[in-house]
Amino acid sequence: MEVPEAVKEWYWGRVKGLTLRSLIYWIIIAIVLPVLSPLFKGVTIATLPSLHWYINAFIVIVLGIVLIFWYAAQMNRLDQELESKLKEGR
Amino acid sequence: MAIQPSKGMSPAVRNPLVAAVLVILLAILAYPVGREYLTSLILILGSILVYLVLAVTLRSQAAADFYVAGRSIPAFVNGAATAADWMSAASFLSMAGIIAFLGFDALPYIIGWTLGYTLMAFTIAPFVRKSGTYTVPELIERLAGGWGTARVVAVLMVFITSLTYLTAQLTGVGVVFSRFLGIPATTAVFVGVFGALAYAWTSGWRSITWVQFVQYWVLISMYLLPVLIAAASLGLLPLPWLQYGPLVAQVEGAEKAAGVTPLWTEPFARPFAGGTGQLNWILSALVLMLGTMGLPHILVRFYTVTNVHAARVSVGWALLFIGLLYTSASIYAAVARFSISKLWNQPLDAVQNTPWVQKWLPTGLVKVQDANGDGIIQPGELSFHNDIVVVGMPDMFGMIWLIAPLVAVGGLAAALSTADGLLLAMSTAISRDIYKRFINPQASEAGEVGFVRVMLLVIALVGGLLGYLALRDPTFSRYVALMVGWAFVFAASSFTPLIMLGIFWKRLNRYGILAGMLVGMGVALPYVLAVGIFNAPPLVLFGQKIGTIAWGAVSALANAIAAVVVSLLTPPEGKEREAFVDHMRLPD
Repeated sequence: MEVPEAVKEWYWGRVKGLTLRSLIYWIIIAIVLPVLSPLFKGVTIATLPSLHWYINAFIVIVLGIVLIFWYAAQMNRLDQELESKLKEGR
Repeated sequence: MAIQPSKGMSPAVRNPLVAAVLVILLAILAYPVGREYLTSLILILGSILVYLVLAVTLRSQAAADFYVAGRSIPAFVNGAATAADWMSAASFLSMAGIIAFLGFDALPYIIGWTLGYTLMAFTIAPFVRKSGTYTVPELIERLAGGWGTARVVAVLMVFITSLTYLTAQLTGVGVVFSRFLGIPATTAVFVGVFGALAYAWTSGWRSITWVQFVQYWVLISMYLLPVLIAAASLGLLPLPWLQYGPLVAQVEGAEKAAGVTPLWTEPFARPFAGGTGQLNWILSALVLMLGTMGLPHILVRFYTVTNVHAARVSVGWALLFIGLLYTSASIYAAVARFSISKLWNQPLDAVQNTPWVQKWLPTGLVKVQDANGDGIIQPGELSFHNDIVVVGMPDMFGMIWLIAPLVAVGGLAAALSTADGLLLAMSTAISRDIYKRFINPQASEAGEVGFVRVMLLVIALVGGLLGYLALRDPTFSRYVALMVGWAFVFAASSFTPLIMLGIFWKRLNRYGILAGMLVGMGVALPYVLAVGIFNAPPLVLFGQKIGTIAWGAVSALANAIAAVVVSLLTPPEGKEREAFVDHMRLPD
């Protein structure tokens, strides 16, 4: 597939933007939340263990999974945009 | 494609299913003859046979099947296969135990061995798939503008990160057999070698992908079975993941009453990998994440999917499947700790006569010693091996004997699936990246596949021999365990920063890549050896000791800095690398 230079740049620019956003979310999930977790010691909701434990043992993993599927969906949409751009160009 | 919807049942589904039914029937028929022992033996050995039947059904002679499963694996299947590839004997048998005994301070294992996948999903996996390469060293060579030297160094890194890891898996097989069947572990290790070898032999990644897919479901069901039964008896159903808070509170209540300090969920109260404090805690987690992303046997999994979109989604499935085990490990830990706390401050003979303690005392996994001779067992007079948490759970709750061999079947699936991934990552590195690339570029497809098989045999036997030595010699075994943890440090210090830079920064060149790998390892290795093996005092930062795993953050950073600086000081790579990177950045 021959992709015009301008389209390539547009696409990669969007990918970089999305990667940067995902990276920020990832830093929040994988670093910031675990680092702050000890502050939530003794905070409990319903039958969950204390949040300082639960953030690391459960919450961040769920958020990590959600972020992957979110990124995949965003990239899918972007790839469709790319495809329609290329069709228009032809 | 391996399994296609067609009229009637595909042989890849039918054959292993028939084998599984036969094994179960045989196990039932064996009960009146050989009782629990024979039935357990048939179930455990039978599980190896079922995977073998599947692998043989999928046999192939094509090089593309051996290297990348013909790039035919759907995202969901690849996700489960990745999870099995990833979760080792240590994840299955020991991780819950480590959490049970280290509490909050063991949580870097949970976040560190999961959230690397999230970063991998948007920085590495889809691009690796799009690269069209077959192995990680090949990818490194292409990123280095077609420079063979980078590839050879990368092969060396594959071996440094994979061989000790393989040894640990084969040791795990030995442990499963000896614990559950009383067969000498040193003999059983070669049963593991035979199993892993046979699945990979038939058609490389193609056969082991589907075997790993099946092994995932086996290992996760067998992992959850005992903990869900225990949770039921403690009133934690239907969703123990959301309901185990009161149990943790009860455990800590018992600890307070018995004067145990620090409490189980107290943060930063115990060392982690030789370090202390919050900085060491979070850096260790970060290194485990970065290491995950650079482990060759995991990266290869993203070569095998059908397209770039499938690569992105399959990482999500992989983490979902891995998360199911990792989020359950804390429940295991809480339940085990609860059972153990029930023994505190009981009379010595009452503790010794508790059925599960009685059963596990001879194995040495449980130790009871009334040190102060008061006839009462205080918390400090009871000690447990990490592995008791998972393998001992069925006995702690008096479950029917059948549960124990099923847990063994799960542990075996975890060990074999990981062993296979490692075995193939190493043998394909030798065959494609050394033999085909440098020694015999004219090798026919049949010749190449033949060579992979010879390498499989050689590496499996080397791994088996190392596993045998580890089981015979406790000192050697200790080194193997340490090396497995450090595999993450080495992966984070060699491949991870370079692959990310290679994709996102076009100016990276061959010298930068070589400098990155050498400097990363050059910073990692001396510290890890000095502190980990020769007991040198660890570096202290802000009053906190930096352990060997946390040190990987420094070596990974050193790798990235060296790669950037050296690239900028030397000429840019030119058209070949630029075209390759452009190709990787576009979807298929």
